[in-house]
This record gives sequence, structure tokens and C-alpha cells, in this order.
Amino acid sequence: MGFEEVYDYVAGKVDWFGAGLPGEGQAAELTRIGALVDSEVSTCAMEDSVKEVRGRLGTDDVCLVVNGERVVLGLVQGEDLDGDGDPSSVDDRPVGELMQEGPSTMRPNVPAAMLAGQIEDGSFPRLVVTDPEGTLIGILRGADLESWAEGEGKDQLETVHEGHDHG
Amino acid sequence: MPGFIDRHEVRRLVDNGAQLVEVLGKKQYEEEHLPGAVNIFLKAMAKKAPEQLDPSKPVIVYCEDTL
Repeated sequence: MGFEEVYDYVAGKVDWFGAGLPGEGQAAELTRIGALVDSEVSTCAMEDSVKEVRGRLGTDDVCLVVNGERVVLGLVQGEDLDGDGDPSSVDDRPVGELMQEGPSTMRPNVPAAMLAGQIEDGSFPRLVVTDPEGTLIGILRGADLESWAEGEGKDQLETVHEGHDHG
Repeated sequence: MPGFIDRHEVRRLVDNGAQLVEVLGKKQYEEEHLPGAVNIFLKAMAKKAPEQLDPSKPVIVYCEDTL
């Protein structure tokens, strides 16, 4: 056909939108969960000590364990670091030994209304959001999603529900 | 034989004038596509590519994913 320079982006739309990159089209106006995440979430390295990490848990009671490229390896919550009631017994252990490995993650391009429609009972405290390589983007708090759904996301939520009812 | 590229390379090439082509159906394209992409269904590529694309510029084709 006379085209000398042809490339194949094999990972395609799933990869592009999964990385939170913009798009065009009818669905492009939908709010994605990537727009609702808190990217200032607490992080630590596998080799950091429990004592050190305990002080970083903050109000979320969670710290994400990442590598040098910010790829999520695990997460720890306060209860993971309490040493079965004797916190000082685990003070010097590396947090990687106590973390919850491979937490469930979601991509930032998931429509917020779709997710909100599935968790209307407010049953999840937070979700870890990463790009397709597992690099941390942030945390989506259930409370923030609910607040969005009750406010500016109300119309989108109704549209998604109507789509399901009629589709 | 096309070269395989990742999204970082896609962005770099597009910034330098490459043309994006979504080879999925019209419905999927209209729902959402990469910025600036045109839609040429894979089976129509031989006929439509010369009409819609500039052969002097790089072309990047993509679909949903690797599956």
C-alpha cells in the first residue's frame, strides 16, 4: 500500500485508557475513577521497618508497599503491624514480611458511575488504583465515590442505570 | 512487518505527526477512541488506507488489546 512506517500498538485501547490517558467519543465525557483518586497516599518499601511504617499509616490506616518504580507489591494496615497484641515484638521486622501481598487493583479508566452502581451499600473502604504495569496512581476511598455519586455524579449514575435497565 | 510499540512510543510518534488508526468496528470507535484516531475497519484496510492516510507519515494501528 506504499506505507513505509507502520507500527502496531498491540496493547491497544485497554492499555491506553487503563493508564488514564484521554480519549474521544461518546463515552469520553464519563467521569473515570482516576479523577477521584487520592494520589497522596502513604507508601513504603518492603525493607522499611514496621516501627517506621506504623507512623505513616495516617487516617486511612493503610500504607502501600511499592518498589522503586512505584509498582504496588502489597499493603499493610494497622492490624497487620500489631504483632498479635505485642507491637514492639515486630518493630524491627521488614514490613515486606507482614504485608498483604498483591492487593486487588483497578484501572483508572473504570467509569465511576459503573463502580458506584455496584457498591451502593457503601461496603468498600478503599480501592487501589494502578496503571496496567501496576504502578500506583492512588487510592479511591469509598466515601469519596459515594459523595461523588450523591452530588455531581448523580446524572451519570442514572444514565448508567437506565442503560442497564433497557440494554 | 509492523514494529510493535508501547503507549509511550505511541505518544512520542503522534507528537511527531504519526497517524492513529483504530481497526475495530464503527460502534466501538464511536464509543471511545484514542485522540485524533481515524476508523478503518481491518477488513477494509487495503481499500481505505490509501484514501484516508498520508503514506509519507508513520501509521499506528491498534485494536482493543492483545487478545
